[in-house]
Amino acid sequence: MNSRSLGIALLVSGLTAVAADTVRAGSIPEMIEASSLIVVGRVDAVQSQPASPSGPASVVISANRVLKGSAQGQVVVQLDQSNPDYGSVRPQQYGMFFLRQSARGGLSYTPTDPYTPALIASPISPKGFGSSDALTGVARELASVLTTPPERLVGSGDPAAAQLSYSEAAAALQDLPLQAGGPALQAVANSNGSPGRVWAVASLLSLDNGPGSDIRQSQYLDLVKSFLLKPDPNLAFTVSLVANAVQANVKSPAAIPTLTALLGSPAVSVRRAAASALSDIATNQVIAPLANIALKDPDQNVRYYAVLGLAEATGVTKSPTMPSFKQNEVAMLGFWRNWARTNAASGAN
Amino acid sequence: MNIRRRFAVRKVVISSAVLVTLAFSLNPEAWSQAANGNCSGGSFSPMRIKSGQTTTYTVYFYCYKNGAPLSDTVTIQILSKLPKGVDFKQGTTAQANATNGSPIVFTTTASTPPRNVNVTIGGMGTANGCGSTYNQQTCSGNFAIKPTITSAGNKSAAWWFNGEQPPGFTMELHLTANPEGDTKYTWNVDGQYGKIEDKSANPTVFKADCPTDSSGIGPCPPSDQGDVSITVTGNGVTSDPFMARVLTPYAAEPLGVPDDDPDPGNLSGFWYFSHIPYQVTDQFGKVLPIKPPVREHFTGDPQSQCSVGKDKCNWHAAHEGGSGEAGRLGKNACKTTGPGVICDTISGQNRKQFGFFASIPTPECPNNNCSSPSAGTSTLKVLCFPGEIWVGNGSTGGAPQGVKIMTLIWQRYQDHARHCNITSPLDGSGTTDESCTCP
Repeated sequence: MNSRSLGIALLVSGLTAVAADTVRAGSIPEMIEASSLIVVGRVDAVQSQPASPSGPASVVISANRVLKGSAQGQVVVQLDQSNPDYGSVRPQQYGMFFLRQSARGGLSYTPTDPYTPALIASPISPKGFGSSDALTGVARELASVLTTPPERLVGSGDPAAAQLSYSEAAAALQDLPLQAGGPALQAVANSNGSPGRVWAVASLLSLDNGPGSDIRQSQYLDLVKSFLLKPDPNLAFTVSLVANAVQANVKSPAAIPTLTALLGSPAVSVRRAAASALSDIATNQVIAPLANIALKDPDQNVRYYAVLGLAEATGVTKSPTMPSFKQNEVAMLGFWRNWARTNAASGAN
Repeated sequence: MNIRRRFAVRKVVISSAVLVTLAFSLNPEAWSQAANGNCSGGSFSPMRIKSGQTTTYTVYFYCYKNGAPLSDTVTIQILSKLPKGVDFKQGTTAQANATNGSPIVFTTTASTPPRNVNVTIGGMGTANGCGSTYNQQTCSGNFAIKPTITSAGNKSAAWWFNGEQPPGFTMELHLTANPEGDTKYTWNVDGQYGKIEDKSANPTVFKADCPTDSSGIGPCPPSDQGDVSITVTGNGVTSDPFMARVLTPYAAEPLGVPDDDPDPGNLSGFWYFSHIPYQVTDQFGKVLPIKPPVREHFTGDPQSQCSVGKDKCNWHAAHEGGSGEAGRLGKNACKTTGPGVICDTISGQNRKQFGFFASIPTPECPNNNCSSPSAGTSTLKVLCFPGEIWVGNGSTGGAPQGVKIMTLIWQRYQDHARHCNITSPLDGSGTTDESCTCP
């Protein structure tokens, strides 16, 4: 049986499908390097051969912008469909296509990585276009997606649907070096009107975590504080991903005031992220917010992070695991509430 | 120099002008038993130091004659041989504050080997006072120079994936006993979840040590534990514990809401891809630092759930998917990324079959919108199958490897797919979301 006749359930751990014989999986920089032509444009037509649907398809792209190599007008790409896992394109799709000359030579191109023929791109040309190297150009194109209004990205103009486009761009940006994507991301993060601003911040939280990033991490968090304190219920996906970035990356004591404020968010994923981050920081300054706020949270996971953080910050008890907390929650909460009362009374905190 | 070191080196002159006060501030019993004189010392503070640190010993000298206290000047001498790398500084040569004694600071360097140091201090008064030999008034005490443990990269946690070694995760800690040099060290691990194979090497390697478990759950460490105490002993002195944490994947938490992408095509499209993201956490509720390899494992046959007219729905079983060892992703892979984020992409049935083999029902783009993502709305259940999610090894085919973090039922509708009957974690503390059955 042709494997393609099977519906597939692909379990994948991440975003960018970037793998070919000569391109390392997950490396957009290598895709850029291996491509002889990178264009941004729209798919005008996809022509499969009905007699041989798993054979090559011809894709005609109207190139609006060229990031590497040279092309004018339409570019014809031969898409290999022999492998069901190879990436596909659809008519009217707007994207950034990574191409190299096919074995036939001439002006015939094939995807540099058959798994990822294209990345998302905005129909709106980014600022500074044409004045940079290919890597920076790709970064600008991806950042430009984050500034594009939903109605220009998805036909419905639905902000919730557009979040997926922003997510895709942000994920691709996280695959680029900070020096390439950082400036464009920071520009988006600092512009109040950008619809994908929070995605830029999430990307910066993940990317900018080297030496000396403590203060910047705190500043990034401040940029999304109001969004996380009053999350749009229609953007639950975005809220969850930003919370994931906060939970995994924010370790700076400078972020304690903002994290403390986020313990008041109506979104449980945000409160969990804030409490978890405070428990990671585990300095004396986290004791008060964990004891006074998180310990009383209606969500069990938030209460767990409070107990964990208090144990880590004070050294009074061993650090409980989540399952041991769930088995002994009443006793643990009782202990720490009593501890908090005693130490608050003595002015210790 | 060696001779001076050997026999006591420098002298500290203390006047005992206020000796009565001094004496009674000390040990009354020692006072009553003293003949011509005595010495009282407290203990070293601190009693255990690291190489390069200092410790202080405070001594009190006193004497009396015919029942009456004497005021005298006492010269202090270190009577014991100090080991290499240990030195001392006299506390003071001025008038001692008798009630506080006379502090003597012992110093070490960063390369001073670990050991127990015994110190005897003698005091010599004047011939007409407390006496003129050092050993008439002696005190002794000891302190320890303890070894320390450092971990490369300041890492303190090692991962356990039930025998798997996914790239990018810290699977072992490279520990060094300090100070390095000629000292022979012995490592000790207190806890059954980690091991050091070469206990006499320096540096050495710590790894999680648990039995592998083919069931994939509750492997090691037990989900209510994880900390391992490591010490090292050199020259009879044991270090403070270095606490290593053994981490293991524990649960998968839904991340936002699933999204549905269209995948149209006259013959070759799958019509929809539903992406269902989760974040994987360890037993301390922390998000895994990077994306783990992940695979799915089906535990039951697919069940057709509908009919269209006289025809029974005929969508086929999916094949098990995985991220693969190289992280190669599949067509229209999930567009979600983040630390510890995994994502399941489930497709519709393609339409390239026709006639006798036509797909029943015909798959559709989510919400019949083939141009942009939108949430699928079909309530027509087409196919379901039960299974599990494992992390640690993304290779498919054969028995799953790694840690099982979730059980679930895959549910494919006509225009989208979802997970239901999700249970995670699997230690009994998890709850089952969106209850469903797969007949």
